[in-house]
Amino acid sequence: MLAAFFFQPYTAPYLGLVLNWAIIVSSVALLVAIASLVVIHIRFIVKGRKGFLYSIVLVVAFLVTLGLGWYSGLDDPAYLAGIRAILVPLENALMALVALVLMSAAVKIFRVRGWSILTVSFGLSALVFLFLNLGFLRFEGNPGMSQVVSMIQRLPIVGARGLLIGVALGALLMALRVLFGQEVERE
Amino acid sequence: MPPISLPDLIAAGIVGLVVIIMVLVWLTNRKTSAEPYENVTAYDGIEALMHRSSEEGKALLLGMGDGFSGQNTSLGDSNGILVERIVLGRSVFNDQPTRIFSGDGALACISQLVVHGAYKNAMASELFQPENNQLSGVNSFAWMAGLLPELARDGDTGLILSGTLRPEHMLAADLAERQQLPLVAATGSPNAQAAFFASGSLVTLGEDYYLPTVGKHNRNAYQHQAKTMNWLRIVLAVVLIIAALLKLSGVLS
Amino acid sequence: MNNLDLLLLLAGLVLSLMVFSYLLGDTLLFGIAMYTLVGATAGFTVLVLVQKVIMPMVITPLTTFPKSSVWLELATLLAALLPIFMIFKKSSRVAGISLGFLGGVVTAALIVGVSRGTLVPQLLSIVDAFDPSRMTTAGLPNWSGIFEAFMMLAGVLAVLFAFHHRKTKQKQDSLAPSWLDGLTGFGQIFIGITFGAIFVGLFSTGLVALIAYVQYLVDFVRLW
Repeated sequence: MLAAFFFQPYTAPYLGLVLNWAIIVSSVALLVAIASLVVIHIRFIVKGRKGFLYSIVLVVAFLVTLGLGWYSGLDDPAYLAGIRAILVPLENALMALVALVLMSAAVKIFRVRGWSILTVSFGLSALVFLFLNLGFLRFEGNPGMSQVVSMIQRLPIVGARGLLIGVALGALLMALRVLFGQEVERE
Repeated sequence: MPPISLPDLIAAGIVGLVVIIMVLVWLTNRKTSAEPYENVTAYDGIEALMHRSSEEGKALLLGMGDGFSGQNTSLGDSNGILVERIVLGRSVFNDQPTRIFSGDGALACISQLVVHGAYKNAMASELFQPENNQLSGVNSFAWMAGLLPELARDGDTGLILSGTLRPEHMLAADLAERQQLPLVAATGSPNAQAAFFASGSLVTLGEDYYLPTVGKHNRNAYQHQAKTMNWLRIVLAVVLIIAALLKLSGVLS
Repeated sequence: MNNLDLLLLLAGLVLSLMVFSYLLGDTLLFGIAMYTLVGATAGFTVLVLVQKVIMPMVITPLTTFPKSSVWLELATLLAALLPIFMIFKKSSRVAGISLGFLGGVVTAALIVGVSRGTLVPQLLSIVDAFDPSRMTTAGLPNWSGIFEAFMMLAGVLAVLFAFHHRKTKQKQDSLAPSWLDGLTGFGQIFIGITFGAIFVGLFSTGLVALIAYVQYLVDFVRLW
């Protein structure tokens, strides 16, 4: 597979076939996992496990979504609008909640992590980029300062590039160890 | 037939280089080193959580993220499975079983096999309960949504998040803090690392995520990997400096 | 707007308000909203998988059987059937075969993805910054270009060496800061800057979602 990926000009037809099988396996695995999830929650309801109300909610939401979709068809505009009307506000609300959580975390960072090179540069950078994003630091009449600001805006790329290269090397090494069966010690 | 592009050749060269260094390190370090490399702090936190779980007789929660088969955000992230193997290998006989939550179908199925294998290795297959290892949602938000109410229950000792995480999973860190549950977040995503860094949790930074070791568990594999990473770093630095100089002098087009 | 639309809007509003009950420390309403999300996404995913993957890729080709290769069809069918054994036996070795195959494919894809998609472009862009044409403007030295190229190289190397693994004893012995400590500190500055910038980006995204949500509430009240 590895060779096929690298030498795609020669292996494209076979690669497509194997990737199709992988898509099928992962889709069926997801269906199996979903079936297992629903069965587990039905079991929780039957047993009356603590918090089984949540299980009822999950099973009902699952069956209603599945049943309506089956009946009306996946491409039915009314069905899709219904799904959107439920899921989009929920996900937006969660994302909004994340903003509040991030804000409260940022306020506490020095108390939690103490003072170090990493926390100080994190804090200063967050402040500077907050001001820059809000448009407070603009030097339209001063080309020299504008150049400095644009250079500051590119500074995070340095760290991001270093982090990405390190993470990619780590992932590559781990993946190769998995392929060679060396990822974890045998007990 | 179109020729193989230069970036493809460079990529193949990098993979070859990594394999060569891996083999060299493996050949030169076949015995356990008397001077081991320092463990990654976040993974040491997992060991502390495991001790706490067995002492308090409470359950440990393990969130595996939503990446593996590529149906969500990430592809091939099997590091969470390694952490799961390490944790399960030592918590099979705890009073309360470790509960595992995956956000990807294939990951949930593989995780099921791993958990069953851990119980079987400990000759305790009868203790295996499939409901302690489940898919908690089919995408990033849903995975977190399934995990949060479980986290809000009483009787847990801590939370380990290991796998593909996203910044919005910070909500789990916040809820864990409210519940006074210690959290270890191990992820390779710089975005998630930045978000979790702001929380009070132990978090892996950069490439540290790919070096899972818990106490003396998996130490040899970790030592090899750490040494390989060190050599790779040095080789890459030398290559980068030489390539930059060649480019500057006009030798490289 | 008809009654059904209004009802759906109301349902979305109620569920999202339940999410915000988290801020009050409530777990019941928050849990209901969360499990609704889990159940609805799971139901929708089943439909999508069956209609967009299983039907066209597994079932439909079977109906054109004589025209297509027998072995190909059998292999595809096998790929689809093997994971199903997990339903009957959680430790199924048969299902393990197909999952092992999937593991191999995604690991190979990961290796290609990180080497071809991440490492090569990142490394090339660092080297490309040293292109002589970028270092001069109209025959004169382009100082900002030169500075940025060297800063990029030094910064990336510093970040990489910030994660250099050290032996336990080595660390205990080194009382005086070594060159590696200096490089680690330099690298940590860049990591901190990057994390700070990412954090602000994430916060801004969340803030936009918060504003969109408030707008959603305002729209609903106006409609009412």
